[in-house]
Amino acid sequence: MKKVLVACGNGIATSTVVASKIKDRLADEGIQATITQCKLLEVPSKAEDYDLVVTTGNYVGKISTPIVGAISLLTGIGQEEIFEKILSYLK
Amino acid sequence: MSEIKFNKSLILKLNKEKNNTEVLSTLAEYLCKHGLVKDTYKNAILSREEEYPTGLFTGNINIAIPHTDIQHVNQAAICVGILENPVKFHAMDNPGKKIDVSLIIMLALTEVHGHVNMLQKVIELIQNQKLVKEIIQSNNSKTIYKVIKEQLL
Repeated sequence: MKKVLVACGNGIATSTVVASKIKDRLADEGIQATITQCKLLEVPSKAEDYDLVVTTGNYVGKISTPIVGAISLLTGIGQEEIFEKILSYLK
Repeated sequence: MSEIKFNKSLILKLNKEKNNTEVLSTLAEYLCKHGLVKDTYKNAILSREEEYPTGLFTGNINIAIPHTDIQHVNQAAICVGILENPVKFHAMDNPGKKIDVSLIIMLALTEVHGHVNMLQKVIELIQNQKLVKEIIQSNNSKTIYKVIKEQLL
């Protein structure tokens, strides 16, 4: 099963919304994946255990795991495009 | 959502604050005065905003959703600040970019990955610019409360 790490500043609020949106979408698509939340600060130490990192904030560090910025899932602007991008890593 | 406090007294119209620090301070101090957050909350909010800004660019009326770690909070609550004059916030996804924000939804959270329903509803509100416009433009605190309550509770 693929593993997704969802990160935001505090790992409390926006990652919760994004994680639940991705979860719902994956269920609709019939894709199984586990989703874990964390703080942006924890991304470097955790990323390599995951297939995809999704962030709401700005992540500037370098990691080998693919990373997708998901502010669209909060603002609604360009949301579908970002969903497609996330799904492309998990299919 | 009964455990999250929100009522008319938690909607503030602000017109004196000149920048985001002043806006955040006013709202945080208000929550503190009402015992909903600890006195460490304000500084936590301010430093969090500097490190990980919470401005959301919606393409129309921009919104900020300041919040911080749960140890600074006594009682989960939502405090809404309506700004007569927009102030600049840095964008969450691009801290180098400043955006004009007119609506603040300050979150006092007590669960780390909880409050899912409420957070989803806040995001729905942000994406519903018709409602946001109604909130910003109304001078009637009853109407504002009704609109927000119907969306969030």
